[in-house]
Amino acid sequence: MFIRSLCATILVICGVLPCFGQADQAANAEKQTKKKSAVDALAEMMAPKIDQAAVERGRKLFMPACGFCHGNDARGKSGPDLVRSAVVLHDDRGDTIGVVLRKGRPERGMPAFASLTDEQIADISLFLHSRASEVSNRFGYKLGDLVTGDPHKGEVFFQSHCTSCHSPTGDLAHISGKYEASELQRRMLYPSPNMIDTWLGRPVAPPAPTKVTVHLASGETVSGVLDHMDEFNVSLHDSGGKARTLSRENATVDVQDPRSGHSALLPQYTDDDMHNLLAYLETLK
Amino acid sequence: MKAHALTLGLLLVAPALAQELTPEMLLKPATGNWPTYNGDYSGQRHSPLQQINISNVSDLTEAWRYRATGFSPGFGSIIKSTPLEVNGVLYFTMPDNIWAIDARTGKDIWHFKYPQNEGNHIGQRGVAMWGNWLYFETPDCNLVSLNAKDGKERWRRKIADVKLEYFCTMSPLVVGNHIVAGVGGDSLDNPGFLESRDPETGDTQWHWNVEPSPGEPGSETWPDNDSRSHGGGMTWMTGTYDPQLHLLYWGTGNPNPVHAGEGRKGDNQWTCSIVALNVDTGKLAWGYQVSPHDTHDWDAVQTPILFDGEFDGKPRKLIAQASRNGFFFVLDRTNGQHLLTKPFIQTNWTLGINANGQPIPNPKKEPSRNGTLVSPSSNGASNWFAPTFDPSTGLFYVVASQSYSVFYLTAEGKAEGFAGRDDFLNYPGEIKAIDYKTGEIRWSHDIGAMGPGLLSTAGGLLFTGDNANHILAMDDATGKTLWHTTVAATQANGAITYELDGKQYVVVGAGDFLYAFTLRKTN
Repeated sequence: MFIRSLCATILVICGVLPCFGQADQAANAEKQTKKKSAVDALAEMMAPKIDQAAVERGRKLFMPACGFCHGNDARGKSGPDLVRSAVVLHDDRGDTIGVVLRKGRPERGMPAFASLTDEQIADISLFLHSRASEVSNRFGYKLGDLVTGDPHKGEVFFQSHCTSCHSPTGDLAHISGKYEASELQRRMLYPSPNMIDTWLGRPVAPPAPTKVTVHLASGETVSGVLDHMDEFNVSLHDSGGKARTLSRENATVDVQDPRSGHSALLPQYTDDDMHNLLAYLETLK
Repeated sequence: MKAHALTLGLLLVAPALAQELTPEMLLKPATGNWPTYNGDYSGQRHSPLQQINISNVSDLTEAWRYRATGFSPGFGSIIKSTPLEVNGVLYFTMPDNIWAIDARTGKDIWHFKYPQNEGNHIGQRGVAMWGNWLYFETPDCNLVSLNAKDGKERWRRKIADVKLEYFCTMSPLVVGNHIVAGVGGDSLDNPGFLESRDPETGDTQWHWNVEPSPGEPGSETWPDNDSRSHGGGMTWMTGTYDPQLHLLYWGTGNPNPVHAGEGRKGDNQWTCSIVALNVDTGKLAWGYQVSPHDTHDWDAVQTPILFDGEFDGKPRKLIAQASRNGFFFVLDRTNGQHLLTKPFIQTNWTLGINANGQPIPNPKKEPSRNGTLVSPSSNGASNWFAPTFDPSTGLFYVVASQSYSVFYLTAEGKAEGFAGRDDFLNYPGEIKAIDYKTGEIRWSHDIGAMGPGLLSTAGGLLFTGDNANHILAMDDATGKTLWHTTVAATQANGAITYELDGKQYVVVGAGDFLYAFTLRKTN
C-alpha cells in the first residue's frame, strides 16, 4: 500500500514536467558504471535493522530442528506456515514461541525442544521475524533474470520503431553497461526518472531539453527550452538563455516532447516485443 | 423586542447544542454541515449549495487558511482527510492526529494526538461523528472515541491486529447506531473484513468476512481453505448507504498473495468487489466482483456512488463505480444486476467482458518473471481520490490515469505477501466526465497527475486541484476552468463545502494547510 501514498507524495513534490521526464541522452551524463536500480536502493534503505548474525544462528538452529515439518524457509510443510503465524508475529525474543518450543504440541505431533537455551530461542525468533519481514517488505524482493527475449527480433523491432531518434552506435552505445536490466527495461519503455529516485532524493540526470514555442496573443513568438508547464503558465529558457514565465492565456504553446515516441509505443508493445527489445539493448555492451 | 429575545435565547442555547449530530441529520441533504466522509450517504459529493456558481466563481477568494502543527513529519503526514463540518466546527486528521477548528475563521479549538505506534502511517482519511462523539481509526487499528467538544478520549477498542500487518486509515461510516469500520494491510496475506461497532461502547455488533466460510456461496471460488483464509480483500475506503433499502455498499480490495494467482486459482470472492450488506446484521445481500482473480493490486474500493436515474428508458436505483482496474460499472443497487461496463482508460489486461459484465482477465497479462507490460499500473486507473456525481448533468466525474507498469513476479516456491512488484512508467492524470447511461467520456481535463478528490455543486461547478499547486473550479458541464488559485502544496484530499451565516465556504487541504474560500461579496 506504500504506492498509494507514494502517489500523493508525487503530487506534493513534483511540478508538471520534472515528473515527466528524463532524456535518453541524459544517460550519457551519468557515470559509466551500472547504476543501482531505484528499487534496489529502496530495498536497502527499507531493510529492517535486524541483527543478521543472530538471524543466521537462528536459521542454523531452525533448519535441522524445525525445517522437516515447517520447511527450511518456515513457509510450512506438514506443519504450519510460521511466516504468517500470529503466535510468531506476537513473539518478542521468544516470549511466546519459547513455551511452544520447550513443551512441544504433542497433540499435533510437535515434539518438545526442552534443551534449547533462552538465547537459542531468541535467535530462532529473530530468524522467523526476519522471514516475515522478507515477505512483508516487497521493496526487498529480488527480480529474476529479465533478459529472456530474442535479440535478433529485438533488433528488427528497433530498426522499424526506434531509429528516428536513437542509434545503437550513438546515444545508445554501451547502454547495457549503464543500467541493470530492470532499470533498462523501464527506461526503454518510458524514460522518466523513477519516482522512487525522486522520493529518496537520489541524483537523477537532468531532463532532456524539451523544445517549446509559445505564440503570444500580442503576436510575439518565444522559443526555448521548456522548464515547466501547467494549465496556466509556461516557463522556459529562451534562445538567449534568459528564464521567462509566460501566461498561457490566449497563447498557443507547441511542445516538442522527446518522449512522445515512447508514449505512442506503449499501447502497441506486445510483451514479446518488450522482452526482445531488451535482449537487443543488452547486446549493446 | 420579542424577536430579539428569541434570537438571544437561541444564541445562548446554541453552544450547548452546537456539536450534536443526530442520526436523523445524516438522512437530510447537507447544506450547513458536511457530516460524513462523502457529505451524505449517496457518496455523490454533490452539494445542493449554489451561492458560489458558474456566474460568480471568478470572485472566489481566500477567507482563511490554517496550518496544522504539532504532528510528526512523515510519509503520510499531509491532509488526505476529508474534513467533517458539523455546526460550525471542522474536524480533520493526519495519522495519529485530529484537529478541531472554527469553520468560519480557521481558529484552533483543540488538537488530539494519539501515542506513537508501530502501524503503517500511510495516510488518514477522516473521522466520523455520532451525537457528541467522534470516531477515529489509528495506524495500529484502534477505533478511538473522543468527545467532539474538547477532543478528550473516552475509549479505544482494537479493530484488527497490527502485529499481523493490518493498518487502519479510513473514516468510519455512521448509520443509526452503527459505527462501520474497515481495515487495510495486504502485505502478509490476512483476510479482509468489515465490522460494525456500538457507538457507546465500541463493542462489535457484527463482523463480515470478505472470504465466505466453507460451504457458503462464493467459497467455491477458492481452491482450498488455506488460500481462502489468507485471501486478503481489505475494506479501506468508506462505503455508501441506502436508507430505503437498508443496505450498506462497500468496495473490497485485492486478493492475496497480491501478484501471484497460482495458489488461489478461481475468482476469489469477495475480493475486488462491490458488496451490499444489511446494515443491522452485516449479512451479504448481493455481491458483484469487478475484478475476478485480480493479480494487479486493483482494489475495488473506489466510492460506489448511489443515484436514481433512467437506464434503458426505465427509472432505476443505481450504483456506479469507476474502478481501479480501468472499467466503469453501473449496477441496479436493489439486487446487484449488471447494467453497464465500459473502460474509462485504454486497458490491455482482459480477454473481453463476460455475460455478467465482468472483465475476463487475460492470464498472459499476469505478472511474470521477465515482466508484463500492463495498463493501468498497480496504482490503478483511479484510486482513493473521491469521485463525484451530478444528477443534473448525469455525469460521473473521476480522477483517471492512463498509466502503465511492468509487473514482475518474484516469489520463489510458495507465494506470500505481495509476491511481486511493479515498476511504474508514467504518472498521468486527468478528470473524466462519464455519461452514466453509456459510459462515454463527455470531457477530459488534464491535471498533470492522479489526484486529488472531487466536489461538485448545484452551482454547476466541479472543484479539484492540479499537480502544480493550483486549486481549480471547472464548469462541470464542459470541464472548462472558470477559476483557479495557487496554494502552498498540492491538494491531496477532496474539497468540501458548507454554508454558515448565509455564506458558502469551499474548504480544501493542501500539504499541512487547510484553505477556505468564499465569495468576495455575498449577494
